[in-house]
Amino acid sequence: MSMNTLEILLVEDNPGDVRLTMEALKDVGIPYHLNIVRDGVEALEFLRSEGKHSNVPRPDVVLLDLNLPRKTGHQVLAEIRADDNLKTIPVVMLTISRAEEDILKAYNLEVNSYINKPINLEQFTHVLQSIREHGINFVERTQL
Amino acid sequence: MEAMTHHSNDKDMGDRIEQHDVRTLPWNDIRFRVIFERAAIGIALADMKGQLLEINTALCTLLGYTRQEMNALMFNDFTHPDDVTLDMGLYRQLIAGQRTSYAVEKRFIRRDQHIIWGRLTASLVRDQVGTPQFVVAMLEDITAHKKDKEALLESEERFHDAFTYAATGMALVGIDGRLLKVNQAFCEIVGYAEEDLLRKTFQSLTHADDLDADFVYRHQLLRGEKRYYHREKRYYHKRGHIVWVQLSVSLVRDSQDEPLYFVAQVQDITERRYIEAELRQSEERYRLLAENTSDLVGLHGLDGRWTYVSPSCQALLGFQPAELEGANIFDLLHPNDKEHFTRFHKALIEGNEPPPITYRIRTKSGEYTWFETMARAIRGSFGHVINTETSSRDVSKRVKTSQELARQARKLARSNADLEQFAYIASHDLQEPLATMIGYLQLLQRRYGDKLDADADEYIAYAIDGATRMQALINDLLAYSRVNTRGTSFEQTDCNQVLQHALANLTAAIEQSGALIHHTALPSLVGDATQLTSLFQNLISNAIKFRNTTHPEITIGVERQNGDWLFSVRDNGIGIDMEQAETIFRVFQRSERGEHYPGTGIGLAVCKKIVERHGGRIWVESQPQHGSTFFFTIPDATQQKDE
Repeated sequence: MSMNTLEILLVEDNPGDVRLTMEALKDVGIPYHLNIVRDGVEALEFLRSEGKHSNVPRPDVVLLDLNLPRKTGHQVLAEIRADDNLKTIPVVMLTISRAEEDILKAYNLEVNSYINKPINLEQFTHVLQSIREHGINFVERTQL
Repeated sequence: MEAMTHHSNDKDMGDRIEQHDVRTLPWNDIRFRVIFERAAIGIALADMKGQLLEINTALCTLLGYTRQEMNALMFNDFTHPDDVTLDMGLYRQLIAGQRTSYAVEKRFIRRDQHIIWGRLTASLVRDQVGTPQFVVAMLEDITAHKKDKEALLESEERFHDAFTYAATGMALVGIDGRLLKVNQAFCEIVGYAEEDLLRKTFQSLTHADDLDADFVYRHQLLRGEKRYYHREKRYYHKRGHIVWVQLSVSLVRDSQDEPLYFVAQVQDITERRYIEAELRQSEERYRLLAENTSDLVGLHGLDGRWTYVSPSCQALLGFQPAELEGANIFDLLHPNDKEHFTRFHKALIEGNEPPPITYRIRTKSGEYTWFETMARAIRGSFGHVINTETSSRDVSKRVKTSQELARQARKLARSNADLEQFAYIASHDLQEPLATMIGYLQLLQRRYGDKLDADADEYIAYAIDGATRMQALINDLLAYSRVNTRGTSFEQTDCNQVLQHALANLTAAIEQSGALIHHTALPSLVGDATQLTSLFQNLISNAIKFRNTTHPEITIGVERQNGDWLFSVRDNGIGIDMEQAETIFRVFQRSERGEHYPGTGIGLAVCKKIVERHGGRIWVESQPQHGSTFFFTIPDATQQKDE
């Protein structure tokens, strides 16, 4: 993992939210490189370098929306954790859902952090910096 | 002769007697000798002292001695010791001239020591001048006769006992009707003492209406047309009431075939007659009911065939009774009810008592009518089921109503579920654009906060505040609709752990307010642990929020009430106006007191929904400024099971 540039995969179908996340990343102030996919299936293709994503970098962190077309954020997370090649990639849930069952399910699937939208910049900065330093070993507990 | 002479010589009797002896006895008469010797009974001649003068062969045979042995014996030697006194007494009277003869039945001891019974007849023979000469004794063996007589006595005694102690009333009745002999059982049936009855006639005991028949029967017996008769009749009891009896009478005749007396056997059947009368009455009542009822009343064979059906079948099913009698209920069942009805019928004829069954019967027009049938098995005298009795009521209306009700309930449940689902999805989908809006407003504030004027900053702040409050409302609405749509299944839950969890979630608020929390030991119950945690958390957080003093105290308690757990959460806060006690549990109902406090006002509505999902209820008791106590009940599943 390069300490200089954070390789990020953002999985988000709403262009407004894509832009908001990009703006937030700017404000965090960490050097990063962003790849964007629009749904769950494409996210997994990207991670497995399949199809049109044959020559893409392996991300240092996945920012995963929960409510996605084709495959939900939970399904994508489950497949990442079940795949020996992918399971060490840190995943941060970025979602509007504050429902306990959504949060618990994400932690049961070993998510590294669960961040509610609209993004709290302070929390976002802390999480990304920690992942940059500790990778998969960083886990932030969200209080229910 | 020789022996006699010899004996005479040894005796103190004078020659005169000896001479008389010889002269008076016709010994020389050959005919007399033959009779004496060949007589079938034993004969002896004895002198005044009892010394034997002459004996015949029959006597020797009777007593088992030879003639020589007999000559050496006195009468007493072969008399039974117990009879010696009697015999000697009579003998002395004879000799003394106080009687001319005597007869006695006494026991003799044979040479072989066997005892035999004999009838002894002794008479004194005198000469022409009246001087006693000798005694003629005749002995007849009556052992066999005696035994017969004893047997007869014994049998008579047995008969007497049988008569006296028989459980059946027995009476011997004279031809004139007089009671000759009655037993104890008979006395008890009519209530009289034996001596009273023996002064009465059969007729005086008999009910006046039954006398004529008795008269006819008695004459049939007397004329020999019948050997006995049986009938049921009435007696007057001593105390005046009527006793029903089963009477059996026969006639006893003597050896000349002349009527002697009647033998009557009497059994008290009052109770049986009473039961029969009751039964007849109840049957009549049953028929009366069956003929007039609007219900369908029927009797069925074990196969389901109607043997009787009430006239109401015409109004209910369109059939005449005659059309149904012989028809089988199984042929008129709705196909979907056959299995259900077959089980009911099987239970019934096996002698169980199945609960009433609701099913459809086809009417004559081919339509089906709903009936509720109650049925009973009828048993024969050996206890096995012989047929069944049914009473069926047209319950079409009720079935229709309950079907309608069930349909409405299903519709309502569906519409409730739809509504909750709608609220959930709508809230969820509303959140996304709202989060985007807030995100951009915040971005605007962050990036351009220092480039706009103070008014612009204020407008942005209000926009963010409004959008954030809307987000809180949507979140609460989601939480509210999730109580039913996303609740987990009920499990055994320890409320102490639930409370600790809730208190842990409230750590910050508790520390900040300095609230003291007291609680008793809480039970374990069946419920949704996550929701129960929310419930306690909401109530405690409310109690902290609406505190009045700088030392808020909250007490959580529990007690049993009618098979429920009754929980209470008491605070010393600002209290609630009881006029608002109902409305505070409504969605987004922020009470007056809430105006100065943060929150959307959904907490108590969620509490209410959680409690209701658990089958309990929630309410509040309070006085403004004197604190509130929230009560809620949760049914105790173990208690419910017992009931």
